[in-house]
Amino acid sequence: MIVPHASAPALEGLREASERWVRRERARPRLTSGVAALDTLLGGGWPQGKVGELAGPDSSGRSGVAIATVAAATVRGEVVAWLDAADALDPASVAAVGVDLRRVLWVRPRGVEEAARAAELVLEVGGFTVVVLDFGSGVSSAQGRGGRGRGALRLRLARAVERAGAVALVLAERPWVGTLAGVTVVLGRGGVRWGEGADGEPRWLAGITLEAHVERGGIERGARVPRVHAGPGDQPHRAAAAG
Amino acid sequence: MRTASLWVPDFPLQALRRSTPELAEAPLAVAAGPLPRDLIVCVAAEAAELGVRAGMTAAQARQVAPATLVRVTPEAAAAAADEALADVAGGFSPRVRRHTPGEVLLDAGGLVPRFGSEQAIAHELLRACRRVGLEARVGIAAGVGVARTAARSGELVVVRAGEEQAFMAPLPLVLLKPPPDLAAMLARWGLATAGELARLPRREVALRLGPGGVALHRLACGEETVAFVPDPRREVLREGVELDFPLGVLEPFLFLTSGILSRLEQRLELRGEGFSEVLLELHLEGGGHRECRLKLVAPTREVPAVLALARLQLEASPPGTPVEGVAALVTPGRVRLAQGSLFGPAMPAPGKLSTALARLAALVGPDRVGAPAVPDTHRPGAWGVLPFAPAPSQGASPPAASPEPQAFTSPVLRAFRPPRQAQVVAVGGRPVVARVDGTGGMVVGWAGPYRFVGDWWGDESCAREDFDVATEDGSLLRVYFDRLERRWFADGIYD
Repeated sequence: MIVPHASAPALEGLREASERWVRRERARPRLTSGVAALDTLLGGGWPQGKVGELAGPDSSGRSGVAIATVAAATVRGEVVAWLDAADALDPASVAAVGVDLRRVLWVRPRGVEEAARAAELVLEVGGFTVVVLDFGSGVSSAQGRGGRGRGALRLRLARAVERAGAVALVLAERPWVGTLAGVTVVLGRGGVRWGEGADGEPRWLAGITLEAHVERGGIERGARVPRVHAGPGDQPHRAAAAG
Repeated sequence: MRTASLWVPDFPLQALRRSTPELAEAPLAVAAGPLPRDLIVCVAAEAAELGVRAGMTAAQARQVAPATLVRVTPEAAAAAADEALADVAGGFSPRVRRHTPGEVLLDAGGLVPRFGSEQAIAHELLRACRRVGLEARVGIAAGVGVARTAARSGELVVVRAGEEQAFMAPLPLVLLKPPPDLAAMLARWGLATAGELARLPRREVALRLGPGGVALHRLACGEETVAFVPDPRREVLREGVELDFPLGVLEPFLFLTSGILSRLEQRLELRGEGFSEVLLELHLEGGGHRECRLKLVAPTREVPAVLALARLQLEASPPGTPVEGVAALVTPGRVRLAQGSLFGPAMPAPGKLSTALARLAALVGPDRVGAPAVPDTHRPGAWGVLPFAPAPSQGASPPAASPEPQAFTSPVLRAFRPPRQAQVVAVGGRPVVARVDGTGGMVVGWAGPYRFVGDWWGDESCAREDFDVATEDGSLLRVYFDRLERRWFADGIYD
């Protein structure tokens, strides 16, 4: 193929634009995920104004990472929204992690479309620094993933997040936002850590070990979290319920 | 005391046109009742041009000008217009008195520093009246009687302090609204103006006309005649409309309702409040009655959000019979205002947040929006929802209060609602196999049991043994053995 001579300046311009974009993205403010090792991989945390994805099966620590982000935000005095399309949020265990529940707007939409619309409404208000869309594990079906309108939903969500300058986290079994996501973190089932009694017997569930790698965004594509402990807890959070 | 009188001339006519905007240009005559012999009480300018006059019977009006529309003002429309007038006054002063239908008095003392002058107060009152669909007149004076008379003498009349008698003197006695027998007596005496009456000795007037005559004489002299006693503040606003033809389709009904809600929204704005709860009363064909209660998650003045809620509720349970009339009763709520912290994180604007909450409630249902809450109980899995009203942050939290970024304090449960039945094999009280909906398998790690017995004093007694189990496929489940049902369930999965 013969490259016309006139295209060389165009290519140079393209390269400069690309470098400017990379510089801008690196300078983008970040919000801590609440997990230090993950923050390191993400270059400081979740990029503000971008959609972040946490994809993985149940028991992979996906919700735990999102809750850690929410806990850090509420401790700073910020307000967050949890759009719970899976209707799975357990206030007691969330409060036990340290989330200030009064600063969490909990919306329970019935499906992905309602959740995306609710996210737009919340982001339009402004002032919500973190908006979590929890699709749970039910989005594997075409209908659950947003059906034919999925592309439009993703685009509208990404634009709303960009306008609001917030962080949106999408929790799903598999990546849902795709190329419009600023960061995609894929988690696997990394294992479990038990709290032990004096006799060495397991007494309580203390934490989940994360096995995560960054598929999109972050400082290095494909970087892996070397089995970060999503725990341990000092006390079994259900001790009060016993007896 | 400086008193302002807001008076709406031809009140029945204006109330009718306000509730039925399509009659705005029509040659309208308002009758006292529905019968042909009932008298016409108000005539629109369009009907007056055709020769219709107040005092005719309805039959005569139709005979004189067949194009005239003779209507009776529904009580609901008159009441709503009267309340709207009171709301206008309430937007200026907390001391308001509804004197007669279409006339409201308010304490104008102390308002000058806010508006600059009493003329400006009167202008603002007239403007506020126009916003709620009423063309009023304003009179401001010292005392109720003079203020009322001033409102009837011109569109905007301010009587300066000390000039009451001079103002009253040239006015015709009919403006003082004397009782008919008294008016006849004064006419026989040859008195035509207030000044002529004021020149008579009060003692002689009292001897001949009694207490009514003295009150009229005092008014003619520009003196205080009636004490101003403000009404208690009303807590529910009402607007309604009766239809000529019943409506059986939702869309036109919502269009009609949007007009009613818009009028209420204007009144709420005057009060600085928003819709907190709306009760739609539907008058059905055949005399039936139906109520539709709309609870807003947070007070808002956003009519589309309230309409969306009404649409959801009526679509879910339609009345089944055409609607002949509708009234909306609004419980006002203070729209949340909060001063954000200069040094704290940005917070959602209260007004925008209220509207968004109302829209979210319309989208997903009002019981599915709020702040999560943990009820005061030891029962596992208990949860609740509270209204979402975050307090403004007072500033950045000290770093010491931040959670350790390295770790969570506890695993997070994804709850199953309701709990799902689990297949669990237990040996010696320990689960060895646990499966829920195809997830799980051999148990490779477990903790428990966490025993709970409670609520035995009520209908929902509970006795269970909870286990956290890790299965061979990597799932982390919370399962429990229900000792009352003798079965295993799963509460959720850790994630």
